[in-house]
Amino acid sequence: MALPDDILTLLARIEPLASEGARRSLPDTGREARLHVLVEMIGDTVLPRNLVFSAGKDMSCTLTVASGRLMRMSVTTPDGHQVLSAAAGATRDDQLAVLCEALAGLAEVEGALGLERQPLAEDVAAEEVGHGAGEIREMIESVNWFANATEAPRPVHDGAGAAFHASAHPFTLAQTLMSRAGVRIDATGAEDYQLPQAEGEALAATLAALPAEVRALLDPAAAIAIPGAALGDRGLLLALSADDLAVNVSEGDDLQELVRRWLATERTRGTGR
Amino acid sequence: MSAFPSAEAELRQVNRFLEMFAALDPAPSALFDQALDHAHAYKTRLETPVRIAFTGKSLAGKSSLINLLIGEKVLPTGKASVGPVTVMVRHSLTERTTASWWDRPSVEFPGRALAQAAALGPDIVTLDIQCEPLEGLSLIDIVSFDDAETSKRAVFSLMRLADVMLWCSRADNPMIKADSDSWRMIPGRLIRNSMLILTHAEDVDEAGIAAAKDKLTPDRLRSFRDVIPVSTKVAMLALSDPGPNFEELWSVSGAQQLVESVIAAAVELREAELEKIRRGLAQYVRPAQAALDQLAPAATEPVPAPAAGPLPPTTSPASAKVAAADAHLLDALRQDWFARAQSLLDRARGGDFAHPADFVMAAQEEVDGFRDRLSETEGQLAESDQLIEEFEKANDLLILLQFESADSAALDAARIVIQLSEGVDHLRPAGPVAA
Repeated sequence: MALPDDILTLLARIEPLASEGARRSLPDTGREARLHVLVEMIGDTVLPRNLVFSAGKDMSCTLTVASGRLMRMSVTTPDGHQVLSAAAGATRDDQLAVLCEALAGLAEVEGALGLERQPLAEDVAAEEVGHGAGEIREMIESVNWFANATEAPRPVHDGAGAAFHASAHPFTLAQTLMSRAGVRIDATGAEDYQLPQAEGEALAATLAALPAEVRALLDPAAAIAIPGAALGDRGLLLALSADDLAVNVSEGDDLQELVRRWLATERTRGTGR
Repeated sequence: MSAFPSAEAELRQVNRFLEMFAALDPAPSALFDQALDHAHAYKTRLETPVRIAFTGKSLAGKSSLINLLIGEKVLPTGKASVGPVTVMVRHSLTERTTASWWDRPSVEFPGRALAQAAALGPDIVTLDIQCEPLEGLSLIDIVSFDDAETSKRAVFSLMRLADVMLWCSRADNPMIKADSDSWRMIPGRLIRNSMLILTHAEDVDEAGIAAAKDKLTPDRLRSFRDVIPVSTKVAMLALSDPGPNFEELWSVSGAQQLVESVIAAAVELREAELEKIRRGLAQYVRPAQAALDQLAPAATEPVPAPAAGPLPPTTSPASAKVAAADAHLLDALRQDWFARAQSLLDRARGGDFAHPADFVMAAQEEVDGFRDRLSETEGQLAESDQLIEEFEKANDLLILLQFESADSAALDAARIVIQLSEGVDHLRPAGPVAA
């Protein structure tokens, strides 16, 4: 039995390292490709490191990485120095979104980025969790973080379920966002599948009329997936959070992906059910 | 302990840098990140007592030895022990007991509450007791190497908590096969700082002790800095009734030799650590401190740099001759590491590793071997200290990976080999590699 291919591929990097030396810059291969490389570098970093990227003498960005997780990110520009992960907000979702946006910003810098790998003298505290390369990759794949991206508009909303709505958007035919009382906040996608105000209110009333025991199951957050047999392979995912309700219409594997993303979001928030 | 070298000047220097840095809001630049990282690490090391770990299998007499060194029965012994938990004993003016986990907040109890804390199932229980002779030292009763699970916990505790290791083994049958199997998992840096304590020496006569030593292979015997037979019962008897024969009993029991060896090892370790920290302060913290002084010249009074210790080699040596010698040595190190890494790759391609776990073990052996090679350059190169630490950290991780499920462990081991290769490559100046 030989070693798995992924290990052999990784080990094969020894030869260019020995003959050409370690990469000391990250070439400008295009923002998507470079973002992918950045996330891969995080995933491949087991021993704690500061990965210091620089552009010119005025801009640098330090990723503190250990065990395949991004622990901290700081940026120095002519305007000052900022530790992003600390300023990112209370929830892990908020922090992840800020980090993804900053990584995309780093990937977008024109020209080659200087790269220095600094081993860390101080042990990373065991209770420090950081963000794993897997969850960063997932978030990056689900949302276009680039500054001048041309993508279909997605509902703008900063309620409790915002991170899920953003992540779910690429997998929906239509998305309708409402308050828990059924007041429509925003809607995108195919108009035929958006929920009109009156039906939104009716849905909210139906949910409110459920027996108390059932309603308790829906608080503070829950998802109800209704595979749409009558509509071919199309289905609904109702996503309820503490202050909003989203009706997502989706089809095929995308519906399964929506459910998976909801569960992942809730796991991240520590309120999964 | 009066014999300990003072670290006051170094600690003052580190604290001044950290305080000045903290006063700058927002932080001035990421350029200080590396100095800050080192300053935090030095502060932790300077404020942490030398940690003496007692380890071995159950009923080897670890707790009894700790009680002996403290001079009172603080830890339950034999079958009455607190179970599979690591216990740390140290000096404090306030007595308290703390149950700690590696990954969640601690729980504290006032006074001595070992059983109460252990009942919570923590990874470590820390007993802070008033015991002045312990100042500067922590004595740690490591969870016993009894089965796969406790062995893993013991190895992890040793890696995170121990500076000097006392391997306790019964005098009537030392280093039995089970001991040897556990021994394989101990990091080299601890083996180099270890003593073998032959416990229950009162149960065997001199010929028995000689026979016990004969059972150890020369290689194994050489790996300990001392082999000390200790008759714990005799020493405890001397302590409990210090009559006119106290000194004789204390000496005959082996306790005196144990105390002297432990203190000698701790002092030696502290001195070596201080040397390393002085070199690191000169390399990382002092230049950053100078930059901070320029940013905030009137913030605090300057602190004189510690006088002791030779200046480390710098990245821009004064003479071209030194630079050439350094470059030659760096290149030799680089070639040595890449030969080892290439051999791992060749063996992997040749199908030498029947199981991923074999690869993890082979990688660890190469890393440990190169760490030994690096130790020959300690103090000669500005880069040595950092590289040694890096390879020790990698060695520890590779040992722990041998307890994990094979495929993901082997992938992480490969990642570590690549990271180390990148780190070693950074020893050469930027530019293409010479043919």
